[in-house]
Amino acid sequence: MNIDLSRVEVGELLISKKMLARTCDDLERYAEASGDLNPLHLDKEFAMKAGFEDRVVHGMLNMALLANLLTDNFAADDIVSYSARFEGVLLVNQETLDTVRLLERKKDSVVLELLSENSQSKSIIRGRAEIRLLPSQV
Amino acid sequence: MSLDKNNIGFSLPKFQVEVEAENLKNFNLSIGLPANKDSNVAPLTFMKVLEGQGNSSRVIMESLGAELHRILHAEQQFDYISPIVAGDVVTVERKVIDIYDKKNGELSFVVIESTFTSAVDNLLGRSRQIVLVRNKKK
Repeated sequence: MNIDLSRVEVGELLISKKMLARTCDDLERYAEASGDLNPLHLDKEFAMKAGFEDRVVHGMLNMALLANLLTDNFAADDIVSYSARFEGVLLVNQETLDTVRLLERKKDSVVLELLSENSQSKSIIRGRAEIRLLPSQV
Repeated sequence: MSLDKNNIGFSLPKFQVEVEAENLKNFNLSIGLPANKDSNVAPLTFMKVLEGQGNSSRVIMESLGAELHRILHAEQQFDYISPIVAGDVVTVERKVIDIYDKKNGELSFVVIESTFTSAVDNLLGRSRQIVLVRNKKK
């Protein structure tokens, strides 16, 4: 819990992290653990038939990796909600840059914007999370 | 052909699922979390895994007549009310709460909401998903 939300300004960048590319092995491990066996993520031919150049990384895997930035820095009990728009497709073996900014300050919570972009700065996920403030942070 | 709006309200029977410690551990590993880190508490995106263990979105979308290679996960939201932990028996109820078209019916959007309740009927959380269907041209 190394970010003091009482001191952060709206718009301020809180976290920036370069994320390693997800490999075919990562996708297979996630498919097995999550039960999402959609061939779009596992079968290159199927992915190409659906109009992509290669296997597509599970949106939910990207969303889970982005969520790790939240749970690394805030107490899980203080996280009220977390949402994501899957704005772009990330193919296997592509890196992302993941960032978290303060979007809005409410009475007893803050709203963070999470963004995951590929190496061409194209948005893959745009997410939001509401974090409850402690009485001392309001 | 866009999707039949009469399917708004469509649901499959609610189901119960036990949160198994082994599944949680494997899921944590698949999203890059160390196996020992709060491994008894479900991470932020785990509701998606639980809902898929009964009536998966794939089954729901196939019930609506959407072909698998035409669907994409567009948005996902989670609301957290009480932590879900290993050993919990969770009741999951899933329902199609909206269907709407964009681009003159080229695209359909299906909104699926899930609620998660504990064995003593306390609400643990909610998940809301928007699935995009790229419809066949007329």
